[in-house]
Amino acid sequence: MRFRTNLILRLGLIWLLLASGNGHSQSSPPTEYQIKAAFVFNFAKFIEWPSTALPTSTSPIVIGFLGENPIHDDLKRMTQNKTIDAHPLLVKKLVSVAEATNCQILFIGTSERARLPLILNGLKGTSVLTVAEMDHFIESGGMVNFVVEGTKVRFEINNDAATGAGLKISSKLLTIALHPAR
Amino acid sequence: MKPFRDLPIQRKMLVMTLLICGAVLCVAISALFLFQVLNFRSNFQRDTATLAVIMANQSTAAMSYKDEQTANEVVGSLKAKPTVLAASLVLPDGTALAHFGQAEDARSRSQFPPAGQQRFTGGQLLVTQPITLRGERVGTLFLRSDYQRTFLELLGFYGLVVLAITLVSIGLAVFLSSRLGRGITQPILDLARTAQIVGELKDYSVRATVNSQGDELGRLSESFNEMLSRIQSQAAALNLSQQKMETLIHSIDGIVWERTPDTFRFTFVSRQSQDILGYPPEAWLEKSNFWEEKLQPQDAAKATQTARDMATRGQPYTYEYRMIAASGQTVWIRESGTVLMENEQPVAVRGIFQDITRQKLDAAQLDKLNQQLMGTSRLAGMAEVATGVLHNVGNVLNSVSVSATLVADGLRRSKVVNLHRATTLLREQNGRLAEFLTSDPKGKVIPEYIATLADQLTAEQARMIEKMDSVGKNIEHIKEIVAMQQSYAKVSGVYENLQVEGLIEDALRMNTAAFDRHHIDLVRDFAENLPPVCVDRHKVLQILINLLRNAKHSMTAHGGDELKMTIRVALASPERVKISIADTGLGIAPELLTKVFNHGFTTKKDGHGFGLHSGANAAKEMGGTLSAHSEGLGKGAVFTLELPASVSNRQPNPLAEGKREK
Repeated sequence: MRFRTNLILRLGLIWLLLASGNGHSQSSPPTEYQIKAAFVFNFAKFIEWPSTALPTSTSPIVIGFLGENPIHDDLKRMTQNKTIDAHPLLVKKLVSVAEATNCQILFIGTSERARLPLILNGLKGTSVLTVAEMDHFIESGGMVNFVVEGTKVRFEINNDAATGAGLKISSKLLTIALHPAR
Repeated sequence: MKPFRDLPIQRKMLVMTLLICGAVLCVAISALFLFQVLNFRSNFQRDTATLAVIMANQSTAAMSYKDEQTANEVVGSLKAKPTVLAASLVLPDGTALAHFGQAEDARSRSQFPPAGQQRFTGGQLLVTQPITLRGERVGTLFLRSDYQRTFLELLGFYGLVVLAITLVSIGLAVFLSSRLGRGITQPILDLARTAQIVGELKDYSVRATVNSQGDELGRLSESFNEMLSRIQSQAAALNLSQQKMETLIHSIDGIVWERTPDTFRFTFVSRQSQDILGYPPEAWLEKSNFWEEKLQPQDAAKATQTARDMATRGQPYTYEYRMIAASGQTVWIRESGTVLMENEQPVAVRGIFQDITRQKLDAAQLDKLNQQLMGTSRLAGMAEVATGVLHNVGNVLNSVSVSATLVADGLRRSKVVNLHRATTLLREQNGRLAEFLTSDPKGKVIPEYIATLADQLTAEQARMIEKMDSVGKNIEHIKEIVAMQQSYAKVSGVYENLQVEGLIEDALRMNTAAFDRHHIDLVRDFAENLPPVCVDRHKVLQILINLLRNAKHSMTAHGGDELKMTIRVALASPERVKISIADTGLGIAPELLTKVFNHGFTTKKDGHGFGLHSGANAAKEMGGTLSAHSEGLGKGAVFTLELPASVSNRQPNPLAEGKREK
């Protein structure tokens, strides 16, 4: 009797695993930007914003984009109807730095490289996580920078900058970041 | 192996400590072990689950970003945990991101339970831990933990710990008990040693060392020492008093002893035994029946029986018997004893043997003298009786003589002569008798004469016969008197049950003649149905004859118109018969009343003052009394003899009994 129960359970488990595996393997291997979009979405899970930035438990986490923006669409699709701890996710295309101050995460496109000091300067005093994929972004005062090593997408984190902005980045995230900045 | 109670106290304490420690340890370890075993499974499960949760939590970032390196680092950290056999991080799509130990393929993963659960399989614990990040499942941790080995290791570890604890505890217990126990055992051992010395050497001068002052052992040692000193002083005092006692005991003129009540085994005999009987005290103590053996054979049975009886009775006693001394001489012993009772049972007899041989000899001497005296008095009494008898016989002989004279006179003046004359006349008529008788005037009267003569002779014969009868009667009387005297003389010293009346008649018979001669009026006032008396016939007769003669003398000396003697017999008490002889004679002056029974007292010219004295003694000897009473001179006297009634009504006289039994 017990054997049979176990067998049924095992068979059920196998089916479930296979089903979930199939579900994911339906689509073609993810592109670099799909991965990056997922990364950005995941950042929101590992970061705590001060109450000034997220006043209520249902305040939306706004992910803003400045400049050229290859992950916007993927991210928008990914975050659709998703919440993190009851915070809904909102993906926005921005034009001005002033707009960016209301975001929780700001993805700065490579096209905005020239304006970078300006943008970063404009975000001073706010709790916005700045994300980019350009060289010397960290040195310039950015917080998270994507790096591609061979086929793998990695990221660097400037924890000092984040802390300075009142953000708390989970140590778990820091452990998997490249050269964690001091 | 020695039983526990025979072990020395130090060893006992050690064993006790070890046993207590062992027992406590056993219980504690058992409880702990049981608890641990029971808890081990759930603890192990919880530990593993916690580990899985921590792993899952740590791997969230790596799983989220599919960072194999970090994921491997995370699972690799499990190397430090020897119980973990294998761990796999699997992404939601089923691909394994990282693993430690055995990689879990689809088949092996099927052994695992549903997510968030645990399962024991073949000594292993399988945990399926979902990895979630902010409510989103980011992967699964499959953890394989070695349950069995850990359990065995635990058992081994516990075994070692238990062994170590036990060894350490035993060592500690031995050390501590020997160290701490010394404080308790040392004084006790010391005390025991002292007690042993005291017991073996009887030396009360030793003292136990007092190690502590405050505790019970210290006090015990102090008390013990105090007791010893008290014993010491008491022993000294006892010794002194014992010496005193012994000196006293051994200086007593008698053998002091102690013996068992039934077996006569002597437990103590004083030294006087050597002097009195010639036996050393040790001889008595060695043999259990020494005393019985040394008893004079004639007295042995009675002495032992008496000793037993006295012991049973349980009261102080005294009795006498003879023993044979070492010299072979017979020694009279007076034994006085006291019986020691315990629970109403005699346990011992203590007493003294006194040598009373001298007293006994003196008493025998006295007895002999007394006997001689009694013999003398009896002879005197007998003489008195004999006098009475002779007197009587004389009186009777007197009348016999008178009768004889009368008969002789009668015979001398007999008419037989006339007959002779007539017959001579008839013979002279030779052949002419018929003529003579018919014709001769003389002859004619002859027949008439013969007839007359015949009448006369017949009358004469009758008179003679009468006189001779009287003589015969008197001689018979004499015979009677003599015979009676003889009968009394024979039965002396024998006690008989006799009727008082008969005795009185016998006594009177002795005096009849005298009473008749002096015209004494005799009155008998005898009560009826009197019991017999137990007396010596001779003695009573002697007393009575003496009393009767005294009365007669008193009355004849006093004279007067009426000489009257009254003899009364009555019951004085249920056990005594009273004979009183009252006379109308001289009487006794009041001042002399007390002296009449004294030896040598007499009022008669020819008296020797012995009769009443010996009479009173004889009465006393028979258990009776003789008393005198008089209203005064010239008023007569009453002598009263009281005699004990016969044996059946009488208590035995202990003195007389004792004498007879000897």
